[in-house]
Formats: sequence, structure tokens, C-alpha cells
Amino acid sequence: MKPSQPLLEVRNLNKTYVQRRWFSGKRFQVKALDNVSLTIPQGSTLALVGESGSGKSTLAKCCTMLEEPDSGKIYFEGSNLAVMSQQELRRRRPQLQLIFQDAASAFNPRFSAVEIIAEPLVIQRRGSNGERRKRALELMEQTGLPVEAAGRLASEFSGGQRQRLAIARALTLEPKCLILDEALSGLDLPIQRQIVRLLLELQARVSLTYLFISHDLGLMAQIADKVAVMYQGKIVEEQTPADLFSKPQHAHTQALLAAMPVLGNCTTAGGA
Amino acid sequence: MRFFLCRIVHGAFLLVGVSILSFAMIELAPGDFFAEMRLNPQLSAETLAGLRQQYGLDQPLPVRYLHWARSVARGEFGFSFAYNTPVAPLLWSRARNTLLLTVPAVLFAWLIAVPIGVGSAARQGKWGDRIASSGITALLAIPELLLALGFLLISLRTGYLPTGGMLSVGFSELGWWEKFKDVTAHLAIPVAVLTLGSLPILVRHVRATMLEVLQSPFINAARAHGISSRRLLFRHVLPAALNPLISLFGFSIAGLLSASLLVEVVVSWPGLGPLLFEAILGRDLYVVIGAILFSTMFLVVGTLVSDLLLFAADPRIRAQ
Repeated sequence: MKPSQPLLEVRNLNKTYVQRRWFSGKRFQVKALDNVSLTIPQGSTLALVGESGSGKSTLAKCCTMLEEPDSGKIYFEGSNLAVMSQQELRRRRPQLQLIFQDAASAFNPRFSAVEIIAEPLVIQRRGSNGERRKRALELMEQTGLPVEAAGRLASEFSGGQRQRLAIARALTLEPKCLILDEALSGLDLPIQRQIVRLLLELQARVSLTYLFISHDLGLMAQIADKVAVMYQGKIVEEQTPADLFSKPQHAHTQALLAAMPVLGNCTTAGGA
Repeated sequence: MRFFLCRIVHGAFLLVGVSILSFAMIELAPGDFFAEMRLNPQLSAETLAGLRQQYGLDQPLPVRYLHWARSVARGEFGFSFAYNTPVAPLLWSRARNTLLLTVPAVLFAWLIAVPIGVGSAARQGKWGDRIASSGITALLAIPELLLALGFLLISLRTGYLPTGGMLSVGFSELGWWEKFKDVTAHLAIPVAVLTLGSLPILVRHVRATMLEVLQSPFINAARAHGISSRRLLFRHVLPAALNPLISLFGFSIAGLLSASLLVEVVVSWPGLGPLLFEAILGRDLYVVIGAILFSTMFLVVGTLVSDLLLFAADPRIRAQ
């Protein structure tokens, strides 16, 4: 799979959160996205790193139109999601899925695991009940969830299992692009590896495109084609992982690399 | 199942406790039913003492309580001094009238409140929500009493609806359809007042709980799958918002007997309200205690019903 035409392209995206104090009338502005532009070719992986509060999650929500950007364009397969009608958007949504950071609250607390995974199919009116269930069980198996736990509620799963449940749900609709917002951060390493293997396998098979949001630079270096560094709402640097590690340009990137824990020695991480 | 047996036993204890407490409280209040007769020069002190003895009021409190408890076991709930009959049939016929008033009022209030609350939560901050919310706030600020008086004034001026009571003169000669129409016409004003009176709180609760759920991440997740707004509201948001509303509904049931007391007095509805009002003023001891006990029973039943509904509505509770 060669990276070809861009699947997801974001141009000059802006989003400002305004908070007004009740009595003083003072306004607090947070510029979460400041003229952000990104391009992700089909079948590739872009990693987005940056400290907390740098606007990564806002970018993820804006890309999927869960938050409306103030200005800018979001091209998905060549059409601009930001100006799309609600109906058109609803039809497009299955192809662009988001995995949320907080897997504990991302599920309807009244649904069982199968229902959770099958719900996107119900929403999109795909398949019969039996087919949906079969697909849900299949996905549970793929993501390493115990199939006999299908009837359990989300609250009865462990944190790592919930994370996998979220990944399974996002895969139900067979999206073309997957945005993972810190989706692997709660997982222990063997499971993380298992999920990464699954994701890479899917990428190889159906040319899935990933926007991978994380603060784990080490993991990003392994799987990303490119790494974008975000700082205070701006993308300050975009490089291949090898270049990023060997010659980081922006001061913030250098700080991030310096803060990376390295086993065995306490010097800053130099080579990739 | 064990849980519900537990709840019923719990409820029984509550009833006993409430009855003892109400006995003790009323004992604290000065005077009894015969106190005012003292002013009557035609009744001698001996006659009054005889009356007290006859009704057992000269006995110490625990003896009276046991005596009363025995009459509860017989289904009489004590004896009314003013009406000279056992309390239970008296209360029951009045309670039926009160329920005739409050049951439709509660149903209407919920049937109106849920759509308004859901609708305005779905359009938070937009014009529809603002209009509904300010209307509801205005309604909240108007006391029920004023509403009742206003309605009475209007119907007095227009002569369109009867302005009080429950039945017209000559009710017994009407056919069943006319009877139904007559009672409905008499019900209209008090039911409207009660519905409007309880509406604001319900709407606000529905709206607030819906808004809270609308902000949770799993709603965002459903949106990301391209859900329609109707399915989102009724399949995901409303069920998740249901628990506090069910508890509130339990309180609605608990309040069935007492919510309308004031309104009943104003429109002279022959329910528990006027009866209780007079009984308190006249220190008709057992009628008061009987009414309190009735309300407590509704409270017990109301919470039990809401627990059952929660059990039916929430798989997490069922799982426990």
C-alpha cells in the first residue's frame, strides 16, 4: 500500500473556547486550535503528540464534526465535512470513526457488550439482528475480549477490556479512517502490542488510515509514518519519526524527547 | 424478591413508628375535642368528664395507643368524635374523591412535562428552549392558591365551568353520561391548577437530567456513528436520564393524598383536605392520625413502586 491521495485533509482549522464569568463579565478565551493544517494519505498513520491541553482531543472532535470548528475546512475523501448537511454527514460518519480517550464513560451504561458493539450497525440499519450479533462476537474475538462476557455490562469490564471494547465498536462499521484519541494509553504492554498488531494487520488488509493521538513517543516511533507535534493549539513540527528523533526542530519537541523515560540510562533520548 | 419482602417489613415498621410519633405529638398539643365544650354553660363538668371517659380520653397514652391499635386491626382506625363513626370508612370515601382529583393531575403533569423537558433539553439555548424555560419559571413563581383563585374568577365571570364542589344539584337523577360530564366539569379547575402547579418542577427536572446525560461521552460516541436525533434522545438519553425521574415519580405517588389539600379547600372539593382541616381545628384526634397514616402508606407504596420501576428500567440494578 503506497500512500496516495489524501484521505483526510484539514486546512486552517480554528477553534476557540470562550468562557464568560457571570458577574465581572470577563471573557476567558482558550485557543484550542490555531490555524491547524494536516494531511493524511490513505493507508498511512499520522501520530499526533503533544502535552495535555495542547488541543489534540479538540482536533480529533473537530475532524469527526463532534465539535464544530469556528473556521477551516475538513476534507474527507475530497468533500468538506464542515459545510455538509446533517443528513449527508450522518451518511458519511461510519467511514470516519473516533475512539475516545475516556473508555469508562464512552458506553451507554445500560447496554451489554454485544449491544454496544452492534449499536453502530443498528444506527446505520445494517444487517439483521443475528448478523449484527455475529459481527459483534467476531470483533470481540479479534480484540481479545472473552466472548463469554458478551452479555456483561460495560461497567463489569476492567479498564483495559473497556478500551478494547471501544476499539471493537469503532471497527464495527468498517471505517476507512480511525482516529484514536489516547486509545492505547490505559493498556498494559502485551495487550497494547496485541491491539497494535491488529491495527497494523487491518491497515495492511483494507488500507485503513489512522490518526493516532498519544503522548507515548516511543510507541509512535514504531507505527507512525509521520509524527506531528502540537503545542498550544498549533502544529509546530511534522516529521518522519526517524527525523524527529535525530534532529528535532522545535524547542517543545526537544523538551518532549528529553522527558521521555529511557530504560538503563538517564541521558536524553538521542537516536531512534 | 427478598429485597421486596425486606422493603415491605420496613414499611410496616415505618407505619408503626409514624403512628406512635403522631400520637405523641398530638398529646403535646393542649386541649382535646371536648375542651371547647367547657365554655358551654349548659354542659356540666361532670357531663364532660363522662364523655371523656366514654371515649377513653381519660386513659394514659400507652393504653389509648393500644386501644387504637386494636381498632386498626379491626380496620376501623379509631373513632371520629365529630362524625360519630369509625374513621376508616370516613377517610376512605374522602380519599377516593381526592384520588379522583390527584391521579389525573399527576398523569397530565407527567405527560406534559416529559415532552417539554426533552424538547427543551434537545434545543438548549435556542428560542424554543428559552420560551419554554421562561414560561415554566413564571409558572413556578405563581402560587397554586393564586392560580386556583384566578381560574375561579374566570369561570365565575364566564359561567362556563362550575366554581366549586364535586356534583351538581340533582346529580342522582342524571344518566351515567351526564353524571360523567358533570364530574368532569367539576374536576376541570382543580385538576388544571394541580397540573400547572406541579408542572414546573417536573419540567425542570426532566430538562436538567436530560442535559446532564446529553453531555456524556457515550452520547458523543453515538453521534459519531451517525445516529438520528430521535433515536439518540429516546434510545440513549431518556433511558439514562430515567432513574432520578422514576424516583421523582415515586414522590408524585407519595404526594397523591396530600398534594391537593389546599386546592380542595379553595374549590370546596369534598376530599381529604377539608376533612383534615376541620379535624385539626377541632382536635378530632383519630381522624388526623388516620389521615397521616394514609399518607404514610402512600409514601411507602410510592417508594416501592419507584423501586420496582427502577428494577425494570435499569439492567445495572437487575444485575446486582
